[in-house]
Amino acid sequence: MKGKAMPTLKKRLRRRRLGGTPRFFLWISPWVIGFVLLTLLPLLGSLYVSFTEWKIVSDPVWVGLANYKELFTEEIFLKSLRVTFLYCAMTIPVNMVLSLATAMLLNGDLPYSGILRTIYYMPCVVSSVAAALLWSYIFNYRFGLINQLLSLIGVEGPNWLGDERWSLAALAIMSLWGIGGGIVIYLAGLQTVPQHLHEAARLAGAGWWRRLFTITLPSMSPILLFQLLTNIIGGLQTFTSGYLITDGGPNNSTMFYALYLYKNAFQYHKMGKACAMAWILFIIIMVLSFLVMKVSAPMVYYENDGGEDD
Amino acid sequence: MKKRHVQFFARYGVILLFAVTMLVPFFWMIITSFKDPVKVFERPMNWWVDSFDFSNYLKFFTDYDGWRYIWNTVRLCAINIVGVVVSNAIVAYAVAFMKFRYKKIIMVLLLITMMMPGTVTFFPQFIVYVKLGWYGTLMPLWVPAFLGNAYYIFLLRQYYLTIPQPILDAARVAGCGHFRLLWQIVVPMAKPVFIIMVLNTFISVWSDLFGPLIYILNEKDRTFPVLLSYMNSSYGNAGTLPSIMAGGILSAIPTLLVYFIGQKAMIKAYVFKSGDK
Repeated sequence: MKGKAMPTLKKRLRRRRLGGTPRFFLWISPWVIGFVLLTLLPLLGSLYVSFTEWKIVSDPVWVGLANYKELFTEEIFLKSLRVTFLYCAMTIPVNMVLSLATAMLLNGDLPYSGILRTIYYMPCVVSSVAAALLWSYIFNYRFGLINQLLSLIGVEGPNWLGDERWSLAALAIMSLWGIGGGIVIYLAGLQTVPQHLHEAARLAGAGWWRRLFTITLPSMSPILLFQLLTNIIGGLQTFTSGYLITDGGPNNSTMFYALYLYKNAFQYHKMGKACAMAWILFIIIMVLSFLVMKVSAPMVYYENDGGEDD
Repeated sequence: MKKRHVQFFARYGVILLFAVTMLVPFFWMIITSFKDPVKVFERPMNWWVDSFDFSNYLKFFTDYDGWRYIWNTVRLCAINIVGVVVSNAIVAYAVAFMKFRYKKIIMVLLLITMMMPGTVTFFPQFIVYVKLGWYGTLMPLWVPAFLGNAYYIFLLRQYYLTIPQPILDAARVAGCGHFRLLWQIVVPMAKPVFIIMVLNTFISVWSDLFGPLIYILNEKDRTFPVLLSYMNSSYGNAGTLPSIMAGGILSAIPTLLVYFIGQKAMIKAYVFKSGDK
């Protein structure tokens, strides 16, 4: 951008025809209302509530940092943090590698590729309730599909959901069923990899791995970064499987952060504590996203760098 | 040539193996939905069905009043789709084409909202709805759709900016106002993104458990996923499993169809380079 250059006559005319500021605000007003009502107000309101004790029926009572202090000395809260981070560490790398690899295998002309893609995407469209129920039976100690298959090769499977050493792993395995969402994004990303570079590299004698690391991955780096961020943000908010399948148990081994937040809000009716938890999560996510972007900045390649907004 | 064949079969083999693994749970779901409730937990497991008996599906409609809940969900999907299309089309148009000196601030706010984790705002939003007196009505489940979605606004803006300038100029010279320009030229040209928005909205509203679970107090207004979760918890035993699986399959069919139809548009909409303006 050239900064404050004099607008040309043509530009000035267009600006006049396009109308001035009031019309702009009228047109974006739905979003402004939404932003204030659904983001700004809840966020600031919850910051206030997080410093109070509030049981909905009575007025909030200011308690300062008490909610935060209580949380950080609480066994379950700390455990929910550990469980959530552990779950992210287990699922995100596997999920990313597996869905990228599958997308690369699926890319290009393959017979029945439309059907195959749909198969991979299918788990993402099953209602979370049906999926949760399905998997709780798949992991069943006695009749479950997994343990039946394991018994075929003479291994006695663990009590997946009833044993605190295995429950989180079980939910992590289940999450791999949903890699289809990532595959769709990676498939789209693979279309943007410049083919002429591949041809040139191939002619120059570069092998498949070499091309993967010097062409495919670098040109997909913005998408990889985007996926990493989405996965982290999504992973830290994992809720459904813990809520529907294990209800946080056994022994809080699947008490995800979001699940504990939900329980504080809607079961124990501790509004102040729930709001404090929301804010802590918000800060964790912001800090992590910032770190990821900072660290990855030199590694991400944008084809049109400096594409400024007008 | 030979090596290429081997490579192809190896690649295809891996894809098929993965695909089969993904399908096994589905397969189990389907055969369970046809099983006699008494025989669900036979050991060794019966990998096929005795007969294709649709009684579990029928039970879903007769015993659990499935139609009512399907209709409730369809209704909610429709109004959400209308809201998402109209609000985002308009807001993105303003952000893309209208002049405003502090547009950068708007873009930053959009990005921040986009990154705002749902879990963080969900509960505070609940408090806002309670204060507004919307708790107990269906409004929290559809009004937000009419208030724009930062992600779609962003996606649409990027796509709008790829529309060739001469086309827009020609329309303006021909006397097109903002509204006509938007509905007759810009929206049709951004069709792939709108298809994605419609499909995504359908899928997310159709399968959303959480919002309806919190906000719907009247048993008659419950949605399909809420019904499934109640079937599980209130009747929760092996006897209802086949009916729940039948319901699960029924709930997956529309979304699968939607995905199959929208697949091409989906890839088209995500493949555009941010720089092409």
